[in-house]
Amino acid sequence: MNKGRIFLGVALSLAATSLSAHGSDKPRHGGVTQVSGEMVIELVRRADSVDVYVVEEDQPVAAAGLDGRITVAAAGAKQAVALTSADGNRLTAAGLALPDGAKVVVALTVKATGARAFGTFQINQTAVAH
Amino acid sequence: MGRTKRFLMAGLAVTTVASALASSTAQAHAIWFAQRAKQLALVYGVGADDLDAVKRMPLVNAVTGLDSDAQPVAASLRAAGAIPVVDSDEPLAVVAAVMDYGVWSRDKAGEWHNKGHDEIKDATISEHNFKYAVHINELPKKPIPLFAGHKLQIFPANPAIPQVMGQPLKVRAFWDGKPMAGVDIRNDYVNDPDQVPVKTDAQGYATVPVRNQGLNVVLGIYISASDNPARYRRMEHSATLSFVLPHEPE
Repeated sequence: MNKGRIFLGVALSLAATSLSAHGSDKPRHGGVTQVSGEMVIELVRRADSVDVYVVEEDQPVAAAGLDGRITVAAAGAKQAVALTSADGNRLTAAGLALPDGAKVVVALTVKATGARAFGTFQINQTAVAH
Repeated sequence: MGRTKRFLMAGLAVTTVASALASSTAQAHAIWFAQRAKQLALVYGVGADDLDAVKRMPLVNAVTGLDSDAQPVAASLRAAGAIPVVDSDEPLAVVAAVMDYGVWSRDKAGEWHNKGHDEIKDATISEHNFKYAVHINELPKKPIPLFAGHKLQIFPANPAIPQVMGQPLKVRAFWDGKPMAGVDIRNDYVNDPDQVPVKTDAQGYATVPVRNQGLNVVLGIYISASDNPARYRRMEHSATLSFVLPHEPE
């Protein structure tokens, strides 16, 4: 890739197309949500772990049917950790702490189809529950 | 044959050849990205013809992804049933692909063959086809670079893409890393593939209206000289720039 070149600028986001989920996108566990395709991904920041809940059209999506990975970018470093399926629609990363200011990407893969969904979160103290 | 008649015949012949060339260009298949079941799929086709892209996956020799900072993100194609979808471990702001479609010749009877005119002796057209696609999910915070292997690339020329169909979209064509004049630009290769193209100006710019409040597939085509005249007479490069304008909230 020739990075020395060009061109056009920047700015605009075309990302609104992802906002197509039916059902509520409100957090149900004190976290923050992102809509990806038809999934609502809720990230909950806890003292000693991170939980991810997945809902689609108001119905919980069984965590056992998902593979998950969480990538945390902070202070110039990037760390990727597997999410393990817990109870119900919850996946978890035990022992993972999210520092303020981190950018977090949750990547989910539906085991049955290989379909992928992403949630991107900017961590700050007010946005994510402890 | 009288002089006038010879003149008319010559004119007709020129028109026929020109039409044939224009027609062959307009009917060329392209690749672009489009959403299928919320996944980003690679489409091979023209107009509403969505052909078998899975069997053509071996012809794709590069898939490139960028994140929202315009940093490279690993991306690949995966056959998901009848369609190839883009896989990545991180969200993609931009994804690009290159397909070398090989050498094709059309014989006098109008049949296409995956051979050069060295083998198709009565070939009326012989060309090497290259297809490129760039899809913008989100304009990155830094400029989109030229992608390796994309001899022809179409960029939005302004820092923002219009958000309402009908508004003017200024694009710029780059050939071999430089602004290129004379590239044919069509603003909707899915719903209006036969439209008369607009040509890029001396600085590579062209302005077309945004066609759809949904998927937009802008196509650029440039015919270059052959690098192997013994096998094919020209090289056709088609490059798409696709993006989606959001609809009203449901």
